[in-house]
Amino acid sequence: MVEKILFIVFAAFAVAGALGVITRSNIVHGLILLVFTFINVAGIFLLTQAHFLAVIQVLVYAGAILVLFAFVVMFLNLREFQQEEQFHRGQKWAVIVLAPIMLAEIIFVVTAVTWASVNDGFSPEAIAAQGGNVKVLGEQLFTKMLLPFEVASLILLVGMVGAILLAAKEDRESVCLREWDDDDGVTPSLVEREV
Amino acid sequence: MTDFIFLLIKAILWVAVGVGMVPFIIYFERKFAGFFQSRMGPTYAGPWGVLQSFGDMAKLLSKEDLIPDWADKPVFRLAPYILFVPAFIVMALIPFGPMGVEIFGYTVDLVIADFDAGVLLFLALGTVAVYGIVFAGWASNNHWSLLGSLRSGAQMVSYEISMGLALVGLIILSGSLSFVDIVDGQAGNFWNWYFIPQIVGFVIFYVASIAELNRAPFDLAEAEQELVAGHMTEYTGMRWGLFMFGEYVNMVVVSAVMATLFFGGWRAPFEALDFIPGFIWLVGKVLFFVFMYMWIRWTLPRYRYNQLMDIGWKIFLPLAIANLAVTALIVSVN
Repeated sequence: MVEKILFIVFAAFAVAGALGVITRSNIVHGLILLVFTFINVAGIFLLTQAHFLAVIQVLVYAGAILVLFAFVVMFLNLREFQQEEQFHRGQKWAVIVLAPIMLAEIIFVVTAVTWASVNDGFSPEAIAAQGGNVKVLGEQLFTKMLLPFEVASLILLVGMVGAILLAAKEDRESVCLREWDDDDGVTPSLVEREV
Repeated sequence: MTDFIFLLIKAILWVAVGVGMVPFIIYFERKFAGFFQSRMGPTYAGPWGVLQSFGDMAKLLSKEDLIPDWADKPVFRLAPYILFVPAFIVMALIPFGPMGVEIFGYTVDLVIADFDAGVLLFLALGTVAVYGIVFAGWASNNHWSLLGSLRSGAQMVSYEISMGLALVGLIILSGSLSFVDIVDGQAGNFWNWYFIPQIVGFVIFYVASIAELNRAPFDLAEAEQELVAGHMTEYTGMRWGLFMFGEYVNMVVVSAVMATLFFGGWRAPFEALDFIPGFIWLVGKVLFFVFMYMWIRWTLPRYRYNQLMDIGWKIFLPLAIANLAVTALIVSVN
């Protein structure tokens, strides 16, 4: 009973937050609502006894990734930004086509896949008996799911290297860096440096 | 039903102790600051000035609540709360006594929530608390505030990595992410506490926590000589008070986490001293770490921003990874 009420509260907040994200013209308000949405989704994970997933949701999405969003967003000139109606005018038509397809997919998954076919013998009680969420998930990741796990980490590494490469590409030849002159520790001096 | 009542009592007790400590910690901070700088500190309000914090609180509450015209008002109002709500959630995870104690005929676990990913939740809530400062600075719409919030955001994101990695060695040793299991792993005398095998992890965690709390020598977000008060520049009255309050509550909570992870939590240093309740030991350890924060704050000058980043990325991160590798090696050999 309590869980049902909590689920309705979390779900309603998550949907309301997500709606807010796409309707706010102020991009920082959108960002705050996105954090709020992610935290509520984490709440729903908690209700399904997926503690580890809930914490990772907050740690990775609400924490790490959106902090970087916040950095980028804070450098934008909001007034200029809000006057622009829409960046990609074709987007509207794409949405009309893609949204029903997405909805159909979700309906298909929800109706076709039953709980028994995906849970593979893992009920919350069985997981608790085997030593908790973190342990069971870790064992699965490092035995059954080892290849996808390693592939995912490789893709992330490639993404990281790519990002650094893109950022460094423009001024590879010689870069003027403002560095602290460590002799007196006070005056900043321009130092030529090869990158 | 009795479970729920006990839960409520525990929650109220913990929050009351955590919040109740704050005015006295602020008083002691000012007294110690005076002591370190050869002056008296507060003396007028009450005997030895002990009522100073309450006087300040009354003053802040009675001040006009100014919000600048150019501020983003909803975010400006929201920001101070984001800073200390996560701290209270972390409090729920910290055990303050053994499990299954008999109290008035009822069996009670002396922890609010034994969460099986507790250490991770502590780190996750730390990342959420960053938003309090970042959004406060942005919403104030002021150069100094924005600079302060950018600094603090970059600083907290950088130090979170070392902080998390410093804890991984400890997690390998204890084999659990739950605070309750970690305290149980440190049973016995003080040489079983994790700070001895994990001394490197502890030092990294402690210094990173100073950066996370935005306290001197890492208080670049509010660096008063350059940025007025950083993200707090435009805040007045009790809204400013909430930032101060949040800083001290966070200090208590991080100290409690540190005591629990590295110093045996509620356990006594010697088994012979177990007759003193665990709660008192925990509060004592918390006060010790809070005093360490004050000592460092009033002794060391502020780092420059590039030095701060150098320490975080070039010293602590490799050190934390080395600590993790060595710990993993020793544990797997044993």
